[in-house]
This record gives sequence, C-alpha cells and structure tokens, in this order.
Amino acid sequence: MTSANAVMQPVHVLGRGFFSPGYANLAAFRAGQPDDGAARPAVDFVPSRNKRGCSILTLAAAEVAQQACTEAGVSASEPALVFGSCHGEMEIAVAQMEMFQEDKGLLSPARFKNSVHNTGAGMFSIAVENRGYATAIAAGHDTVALSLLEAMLLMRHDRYEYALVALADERLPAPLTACSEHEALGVALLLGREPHPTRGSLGTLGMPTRGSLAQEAPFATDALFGQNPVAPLLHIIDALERGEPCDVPLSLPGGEPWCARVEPRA
Amino acid sequence: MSLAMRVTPYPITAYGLACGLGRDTAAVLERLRAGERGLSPVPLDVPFATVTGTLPGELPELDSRIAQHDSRLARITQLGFASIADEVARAVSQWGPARVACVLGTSTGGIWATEVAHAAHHREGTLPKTFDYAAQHPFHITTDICQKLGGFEGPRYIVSTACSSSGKVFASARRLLDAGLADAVLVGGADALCHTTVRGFFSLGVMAEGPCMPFSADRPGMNIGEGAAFALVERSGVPRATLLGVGESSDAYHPSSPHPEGRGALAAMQDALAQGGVAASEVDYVNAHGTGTKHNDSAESCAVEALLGREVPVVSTKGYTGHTLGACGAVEAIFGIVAIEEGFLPASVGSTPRDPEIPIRVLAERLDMTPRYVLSNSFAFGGNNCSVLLGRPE
Repeated sequence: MTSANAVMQPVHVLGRGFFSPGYANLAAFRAGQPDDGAARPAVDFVPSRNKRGCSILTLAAAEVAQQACTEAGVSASEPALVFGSCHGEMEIAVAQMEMFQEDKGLLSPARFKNSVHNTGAGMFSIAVENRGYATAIAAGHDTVALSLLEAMLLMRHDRYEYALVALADERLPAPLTACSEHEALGVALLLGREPHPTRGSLGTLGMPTRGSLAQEAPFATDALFGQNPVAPLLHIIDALERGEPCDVPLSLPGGEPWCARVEPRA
Repeated sequence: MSLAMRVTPYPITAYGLACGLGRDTAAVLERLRAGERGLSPVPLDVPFATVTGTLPGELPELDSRIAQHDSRLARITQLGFASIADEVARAVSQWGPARVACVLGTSTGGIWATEVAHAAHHREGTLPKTFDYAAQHPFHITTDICQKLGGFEGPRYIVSTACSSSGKVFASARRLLDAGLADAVLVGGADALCHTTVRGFFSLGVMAEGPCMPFSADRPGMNIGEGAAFALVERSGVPRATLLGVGESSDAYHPSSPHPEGRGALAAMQDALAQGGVAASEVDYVNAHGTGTKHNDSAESCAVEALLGREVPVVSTKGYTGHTLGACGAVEAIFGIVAIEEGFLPASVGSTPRDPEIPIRVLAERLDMTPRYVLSNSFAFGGNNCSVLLGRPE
C-alpha cells in the first residue's frame, strides 16, 4: 500500500483519566473546586516501596492510566501501554544535577533508577502485572498526536485489542521553569478496537492526521493547561463531552498541525 | 505463550553509525572485525575512575541548518547521520519527502547541554546566554536534526524506553509501513556521554573501573558508551538484511533488575521468532544485550538457553562500544546486519574466563560464518524488553 492518504478505522474511547495538582480526577476537575489534599496523585494500587523516589510525573501517569482502565472496565494487564511526555523526568534530572555539586557529587540509586523516560510505564506494568507491550514516546509539541498514532497502529497492525495512552508533563523545576511554563498535568485514554461488550463506548477517535482545522472551537481547558504539551489530549475528552462530532487539534503551537476526528456516542 | 502474529518482512536497505569504535561506519566495522575495543578513560570530571566508549577526536561543528541544537548529542547525531545521508536523500527522492518517516531512540536526549548550563547557573546564578533548552535538551531534538539534514516530512517521534529504545524503533517502523503511513522509515538511536548516566550507573554499583567483560567470571561491571546509529527500513529495495520481526515485552518484575530467569527476555525473543515464522532451531547468532553485570548476564543466558539451547553462538559487543544506552539497540542490530552481510561474528571481547554459571556458547574468538537468522536483544529499566529478528536476504 503506498497511498499517501492511508486511513485507519477509528478506534473507540472506553475510559479516561485525569490528574493535576489539586484535582484528583476528572470529576473533581469538572467540579472546579481544587483540593489541597490532592497535591500529589494517590496511586493507591502501587505499593509504597515502588513509589519511593518517584516524581509527580511518574505518579500522575500511573494514576491516570489506572483511572482510564477502571472507567473502561478493562483489566490493566491487557492493553498495550503507550506512555509519553514531552519533557520527561525533569524534576529528578535537575535534582540530580544539584547532587553533582554536593559533597562527592554522587547520585541516589533510587532517584537514578526513576529518572528514565519509561519510569511510569515500568511502574505501571509492575503494579498491574502487564507483561505485554510498553513504550514511552516523546515528540515535543506533537507528543499527543504521535502517542495516539503509535497506540492506533498497535491496535490496527498488531495484536492488541486495547491500548492505553497515558501522558503527563510536570512543571519544569528551577532554574528551567521559564523554559516552558505550565501546570503539571496527566491525562489518559483507554482505547479499544471495538466498544466494550457491556459498557459500550464514549465515542470514536479517528487517526491523527496533519492538516489545519478550518475553524477551531475554543477549549476551556486551554486557559489552565494550554502550554502543557499533553493538554491536547484533554481536547478529546472535551469534545466527547460536548456531544457534537468535531475535529480537534492535537498539537501545541510550534508543533505540526496534527488533528483528529472525534465522534461522541450518539 | 506468544500471541504474536506473522508480520510482513521489510528490507533494511542502508545503515550508518558512529560510536567509540570510530567516527564513521567503515572505521567502526574495521575495528569490530579486528577485535579492538573502543574504550578509553572517561572524559568527564567525575569522582571515580572508569572507561567509556567515547567518540574519538573532536566532534565537528554543526551544519548551519542545525546550529541552534548545538550539544554533544547533536554533534554525535550529525556524525552518525553522515554515514547514511546519501541513502536518506535517495529515499526522499524515490518516495517523496512526506512518505519518509523517522523514529529514533534515546535515553537522555540532550541532557548534557542542561548539565553544563545548570553547572554554570550554580556558579554564576544565571543560565548561560548560549543555552536554549527547547533546542538543545528535549528528547526530540535528534529527530528534528535528522529531519533538517534529510529533508523528509513524514511523521517523526522518539521512543525513550532507556536501553531498549532503539531496538523498539524497528517495530514502530514496521507498523508505519504496514499502515501505509510511510514508504521508508529512518530508524536509529543516539545518546551522548553525560554526568547523569555515568554517575548514575556508578551509584547503582554496577560500573567497572576497567573494560567490561560480559559473561566472564571476572566481570567487573559495565562501561557507558555513546553513539548514533541509523538504518533505513523501506517498503521495497535492495536489502542489506531483512527485518523479520521485533518482539516486545515487559518483565512486570522490578524497576531496575531483570527477572532472574529472563522471563521477559524469553517472551520478547519468542515474539520476534513468531512474527518472522522462524523456528528457534534456525537462529544461528544472538547479539546479546550483554551489559557485563551479573544480573543481566545471568538472566539473559537463562532465556537464551531456554529458547535456543546451548550451542547457538552468542556475542556481547558492549566490550567494544560500551553500553550506548538509548543507541545500543540500533548499534547492535547493525552489528547483526554486518554479520549477515560480511560473514563474521565478532569475538565477545572480554568474555574469558567464562563464568561457569553461564550455560550458553559465548564466542571467545571471531567466527567467520554467514548467519541466516540473527536475534539482537535489548533490555531496559522498567523491565522493558526488545528482540529484533534479522534475516539474510533470499
């Protein structure tokens, strides 16, 4: 097949996950009342010893991943795991750079092993005993689009019935804060080839494609998270809740004009 | 139990790399064939002794098209890309820019640039004016660099699963081709030496002071390396080797230690063979992950023995290059292609005296043979496993 316009069948959105400091989940965020008790993700399903030395990024990714599986009614051991982040584990990276300057300049083993980009995917796979596919994607301001593309390829051109897309980016630590100013955010979608046999589907998501949208409807969440590279995943959730089919932008300004068609459940 | 399905084989039409063994493909392969290590004293100011697979010589200035990305990683990426640039240009011309995609692996991206800037901030209270976080640090700068140098316009992204990153990119390429989203995919990986990884692996107590000795009873630990390696996977073309399958699995066991019996490694190799329709008995060479740490060597050899028995030749090439982290999957897959193409399996340098608890056939000397089927293994933190199955062109 050499068509430049290859199109995959849409996939179904079966579950959602959300975390941002003060908002433990999507319902809390929609209620609009921040909770000081939700400064960090709960991640109750991960033993304490496996959370030691982890960043808010890792915890947020694991938390939203579990939320999405729970809403979907799909065992977390089943889906292909597509985690992702534009910036990665910067909180730990900069903390380690501080340690270079201290005493002998050596690092904490616990911190170091949690500094890789796939820490969240690894933590999640261990906690839920998922022995299948796991990856961690980064694509700058196009991280959402390319993570979704990888997930859809796994369902359409590999063996997976489900793919879990769990993306997070944390606030950059000092002295890098000004390099990309945004609040920490984690968002996840549990995608399926077909609707869930008993719970159905929240709607369908088309393959990400490149092309400018004729007219972009404003997304209220952009005011809060607009510069967070994973914020475009919220556009899909917003579009599903609006109830009208639409094309949603998947990239931040500066990225390529990726977008995807969202068709909410009728 | 493998749930893998047969997949479409694709030709790997070109490759190029730079690493501690040399600054271009020819130099690397000459030293690999000769059995020469590419390790030297670590060039970073760190409070311990070790050797690393450091790119030899000064790294050249960047092409003006990518000057804004200046960092050690960018310079290494440029060097590695130079070895495949002509073939990328040919692919862009043949298929069209929009039909050439790029999926690369890296473990730490351009973190070295931020380390330098952070140290300056510590001394002077301000970040250097030359530091540009967005252009120098993020993971995706290597795909941006290759895009600017290669002129392709297809989808591009980074897989960053630590040490399995640039093995997994071969699977992403296969899926992009299957889906009709590209006709050629530039895959590969790049990582540069940096304080984070050199000090980090020392903190884990697995760093060797001298050269690593994978599978040896005298193994002192691992060495870090750096490099950039690229390959072109295309819909059709003259194959240097054939991409037959890529097995991917998770241990679901421990954040930084492999399952002791290599459960995930075994699953990845089984998955790759099932995708390619190749029997375990047909595999005649394994490029092992072979880091030279006791846990990794032991777990991997358990998995290899369980699947392939004790007679298939196994080589770790990390004694030549050091552990190039996010680049090792691509570096070592290319060494597998070279074995197929040039008819030799390199010696597993440093593997003697062999650890008596390692039950597999680790090659102490170079073996001149042309393998038909090669597995190249890469395993990572988080229990992330990948095995690339390569075949001799029919």
